[in-house]
Amino acid sequence: MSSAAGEAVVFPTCLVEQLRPELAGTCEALVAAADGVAPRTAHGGACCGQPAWNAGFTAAARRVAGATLRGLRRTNGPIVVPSGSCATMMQRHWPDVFAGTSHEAEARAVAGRVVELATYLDARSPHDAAPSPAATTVTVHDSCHGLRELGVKAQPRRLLAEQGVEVVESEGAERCCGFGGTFCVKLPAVSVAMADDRLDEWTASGIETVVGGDLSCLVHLEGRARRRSLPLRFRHLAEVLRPSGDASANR
Amino acid sequence: MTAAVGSTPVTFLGRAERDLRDDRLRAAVRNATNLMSGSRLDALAGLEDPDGLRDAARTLRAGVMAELPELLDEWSTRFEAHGGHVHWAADAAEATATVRDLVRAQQARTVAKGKSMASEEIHLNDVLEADGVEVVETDLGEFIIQLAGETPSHIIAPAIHHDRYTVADLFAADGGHPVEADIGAEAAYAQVRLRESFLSAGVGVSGVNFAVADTGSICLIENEGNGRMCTSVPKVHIAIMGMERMVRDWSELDVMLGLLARSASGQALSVYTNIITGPRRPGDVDGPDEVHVVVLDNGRSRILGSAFQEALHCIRCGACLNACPVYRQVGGHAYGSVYAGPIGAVLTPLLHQEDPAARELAEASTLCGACWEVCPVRIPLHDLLLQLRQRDAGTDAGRARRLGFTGWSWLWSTRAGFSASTQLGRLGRRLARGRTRLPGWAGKWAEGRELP
Amino acid sequence: MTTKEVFLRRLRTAAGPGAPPPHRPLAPVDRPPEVRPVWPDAAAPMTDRWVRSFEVLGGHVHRTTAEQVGATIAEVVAGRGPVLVDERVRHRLGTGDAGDDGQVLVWPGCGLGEAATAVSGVVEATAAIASTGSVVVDSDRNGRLVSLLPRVAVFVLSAADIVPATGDLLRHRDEHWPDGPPSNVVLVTGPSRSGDIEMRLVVGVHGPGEVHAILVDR
Repeated sequence: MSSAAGEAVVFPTCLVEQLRPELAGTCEALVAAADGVAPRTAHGGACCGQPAWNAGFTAAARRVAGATLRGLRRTNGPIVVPSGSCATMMQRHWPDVFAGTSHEAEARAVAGRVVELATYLDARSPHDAAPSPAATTVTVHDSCHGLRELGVKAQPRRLLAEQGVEVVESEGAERCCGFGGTFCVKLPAVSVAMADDRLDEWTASGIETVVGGDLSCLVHLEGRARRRSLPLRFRHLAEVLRPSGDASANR
Repeated sequence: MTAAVGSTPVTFLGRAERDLRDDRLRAAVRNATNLMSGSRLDALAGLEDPDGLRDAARTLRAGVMAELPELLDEWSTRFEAHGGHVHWAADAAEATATVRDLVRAQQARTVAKGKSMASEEIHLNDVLEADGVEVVETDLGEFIIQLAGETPSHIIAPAIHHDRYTVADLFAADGGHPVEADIGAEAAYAQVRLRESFLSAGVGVSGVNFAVADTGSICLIENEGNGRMCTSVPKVHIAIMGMERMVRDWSELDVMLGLLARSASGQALSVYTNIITGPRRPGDVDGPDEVHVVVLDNGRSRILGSAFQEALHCIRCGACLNACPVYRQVGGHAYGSVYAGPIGAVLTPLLHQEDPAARELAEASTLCGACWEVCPVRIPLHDLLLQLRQRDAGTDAGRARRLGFTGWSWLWSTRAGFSASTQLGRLGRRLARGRTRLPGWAGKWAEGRELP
Repeated sequence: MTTKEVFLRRLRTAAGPGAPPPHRPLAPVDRPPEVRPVWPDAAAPMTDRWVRSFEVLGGHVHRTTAEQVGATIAEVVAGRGPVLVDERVRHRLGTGDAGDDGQVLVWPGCGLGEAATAVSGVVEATAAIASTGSVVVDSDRNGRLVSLLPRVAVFVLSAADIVPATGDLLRHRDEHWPDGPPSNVVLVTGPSRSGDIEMRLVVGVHGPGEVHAILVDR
């Protein structure tokens, strides 16, 4: 079945597929609610290639990303990615990954269609939901790449507010959690100290729920919080947002 | 690279783990970087369009690098026309030998020294001291670490890893009498102690913040006044200058000065912006009889013209150290180099390309980009770190990891392989529950975290 | 030892055709942009803006007339100890040969040892910068040490010499120094300070910890 021009695709990312596969369906439901039509599921590849790319291994990154590229090139609509780091990798770095190869033009074309999830939903939100009295209070942890490369900052906060979620700002919201790809296992003591920096601020200020747009940050922070038996909950943005209105799926 | 001394660990991780256990150090680093980050924001808010100014500054620095030989030529010709002396040092050995010989020619027993990262880079003090010369560090922070026998832990605030108690101990040992653990008392001690050196030193040594080509000037900035002392009182002033410190003219200088102190210490300008255009002239009532600038290459020419050239744009403000989430946790000594933090992680491997210990500094980062975000000349340090990793990936040292990633990439380039690895991962996590020690990177993860 | 020719040739070889174009494009710049301050008091006269900036740094301003400069200086330095002044600026003190001369050390004639005992130093400012609260001194008018050795610095400044921002001085240096810059120019921005111990501010570490401006209005 060919995808209609402009029809969205959700690229779940390798971490979501491996660790929280149900999140893929949640993202698809959110996109369906925003678009009025259910998105396609991306097939073919699994990973944007970032782990190898950030470690400096270009060929390995290209091989893995190439499989994903092959899966996505047959789509023609937006490619929605529930991860600031993966979206950055695909949108900003794929032209470098495939530079000088026969796939370069194709990669640029696909990269141009990649949109990070909060950005996508925020752009399509009517922004007319009256802020209801806050049922929950959360803090937002900003994904480094999403923030600095894609400008993801206000969008998740707006989306949460429109859902009646009160967002309390953390002083270190923009400070890297310490995951950093292979960094977390190459320099584990430093990585853990960086996580503690965030966790200590949250526990000191009475935060209970942390919302982020990147599963990598969340599993790293949650892993450390659980080791320290800290009373903190970690949620991906998609898990907190509820599809609003009729989510009629026309396939 | 500073040599491992005594029981100093030889890897970044080893030094980081050592310093992560030092709660006092960590609190001091956190406090200092919080203060400096905050004051930077306040100071930049005092400018119209600070981001536009930073982007323009990046372009200006690139323009300087594109014409560096010509600008150095113009600057040195004019500086010499005013009576200054210029010495060209290919490496640290030449630079230190030049300074040593100039000091010998003066028969100076004491050298009063202002803050200069370049002089630390070339280990100037060791060479002068081996020649029987007393070198007195006159910047308060540098004086403290000199007494402690340490290297600086931050570009702007070299002694932030100390507190008033450790300083009181150091000063008491230096002076042979108790010194109150009070910051005012300690500053007073240093002022009296160092004034003698200023007034009696035969030679003053300084760094250079910028050299201005169109008038043959050098510009030095500081807050205490010790720099002006070192460059005005002794008969001979020797300035060590990294070759990349050129600016074209006073308009470019204005842009750089407009950004430097704001980014470094939250001030519109440092207390003293000192512009020197040669030695004293007929008609001057004071000033040094001789001013010598030692222009230092020491590996910089290898960076010029390379894909890493932007590393030479650095104006040494220290903002990247204050923004870096890794530096925040471990402080400067973990980097094992004169230059710490993000700029140190980029420059050190480039200046010391033969040193594997230097190369590993490129790994001391999550590539979060906070450094790039704050850099007054918008150096994409996180891009340069990635480029360093790409360069090292092809070396022998990278082979084992390259093989690992190659295997991974074959597995993950098909859905079947990815699914198999997903199943394996699930099984592995089930088996790992309850285990305290795990192999490989799973074990590294589990050192401090529960598995997902 | 490396000669200039060898050094620069190595750079020309290294620079070669130039570095690869940067990954993130450079912003187009045809000339260095102005460093424009945000004024907290944009409606105020420039003199008042400079006063505000100077006082925020901890400086003390004494407004006076041309005729009263000597008397105003005397008020500031009276009873505090020896006063250091460049022989070319001596006349500004206004005191005659009688009276306080024992307290006045004339540089460079008094010598370094005597000069180091001075408590105050009086210098003639070349200019001042309103946005930063800076005072500009140079070696054509004063000895370097006069504004450096004593712990109190007294700057004699004409309101007419106040310029708005750093660029108005630095980019128009020919207006102040038509023959090129003197051997030494210092932009003094507040009293000497250090935050090197625990990031706590200490004032007056090596340079003057107390700064005064004798501001001569038009």
